[in-house]
Formats: sequence, structure tokens, C-alpha cells
Amino acid sequence: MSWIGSIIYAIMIVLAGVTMATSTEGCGGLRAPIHLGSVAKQDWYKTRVIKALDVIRDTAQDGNAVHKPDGSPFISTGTARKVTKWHRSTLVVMDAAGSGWQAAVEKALDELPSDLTPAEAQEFTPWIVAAKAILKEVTQ
Amino acid sequence: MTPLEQVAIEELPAAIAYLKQAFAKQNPDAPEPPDEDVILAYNTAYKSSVAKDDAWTAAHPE
Repeated sequence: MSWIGSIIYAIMIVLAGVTMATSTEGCGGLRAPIHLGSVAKQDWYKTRVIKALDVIRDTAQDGNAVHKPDGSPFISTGTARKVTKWHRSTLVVMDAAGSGWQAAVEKALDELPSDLTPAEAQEFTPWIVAAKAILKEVTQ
Repeated sequence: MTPLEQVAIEELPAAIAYLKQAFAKQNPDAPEPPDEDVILAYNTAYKSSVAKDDAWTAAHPE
């Protein structure tokens, strides 16, 4: 990993750490309003997880839309397609999972790197780490 | 800098902005949303995100 990649990785790890460090009731925007019913509370948390998963998807699709001087995309169409399919599948599973949605999303986040080459997996790692941190926060 | 690092740099502001917003202290005087608004917000986020996936996939056939 280049020094820029290391810096980006470190920033995302720090952000994930801040996420966990500030995980006290009423301290942050991830805590659901206390008056919400059980269905609405879970939908509150799932909305935030969707946004974290969207960052992973958008990174892939935006990277595919940008081209290097030789005309090839920064992220191959094949990789962007894998990530997009993974993203859609994860959202559908999360929506259908009922009370076990957190475990289903965590499993999907664990499985994504195995579907990518090692170099690709490394580049998406910070976003996966951040999504896992948010998932852990809303699971507490 | 690798191409993916360049993309990551471009996405970093959006990711940081989201996390900052997510962890901004809630205004205790702000009205709390009713259940139906929260449920609608989730369904909207879900459907629009899946729609974006479907649109991209349709635009990039195998």
C-alpha cells in the first residue's frame, strides 16, 4: 500500500474508532429517538446502515466512471459489477431478514473481500471497516 | 498513487461528512420524528438505493 493509501486507511480507522468511542446513549445521531416503536427503531438503524453500504457501492461505480489517461476505468467494470450486485443483495437480505438483519449484513461485509482480488479488497477495506463500525454501533 | 486511492480520496469528503452528521449531537429541543416518518424514510432509502443498483447494472450489461 502506498503512503497515500496508508493515510486514507488510517483516517477511516480513526473515524471508525471515533464511532465506537462516542457510542453512548443520546450522544450521537446514530441513537434512535427513544419514543420510537420497535419496527421504526430498526428502520432508523437500517437507514443509517444503508448509507454506509452506499459509500462502498458508490466508490466502485464512481471509480468505474473515471478513466485513466490510457482510457481504461480506474475500477474495472467487472469489479464495479461485483460490488453493485453485492450491495443490492445485501440490501435485499437486510430488508427481508427481520430481527437478524445485523448478522446478515455483517456476514455480507465479511464476504465482500473474498469476491475481489487482494489488491481490490485492500482498496475497499477502509469503507468496509467504517460500515462495520456503524453496524456495531447500531447493534449495541 | 493508485487509481483506487484517487477514487478513495474523491469519496472521502462524502464519507467524512456522513459520519460527522451521523455523530453530531442531537438537538434536545428538536421534535422527534413519528414512527411513520422513520419507516417511510427507510423504505425510500431502500428503494432508491436498490433502484440505483438496478440502473447501473442495466447500463453495464455483462
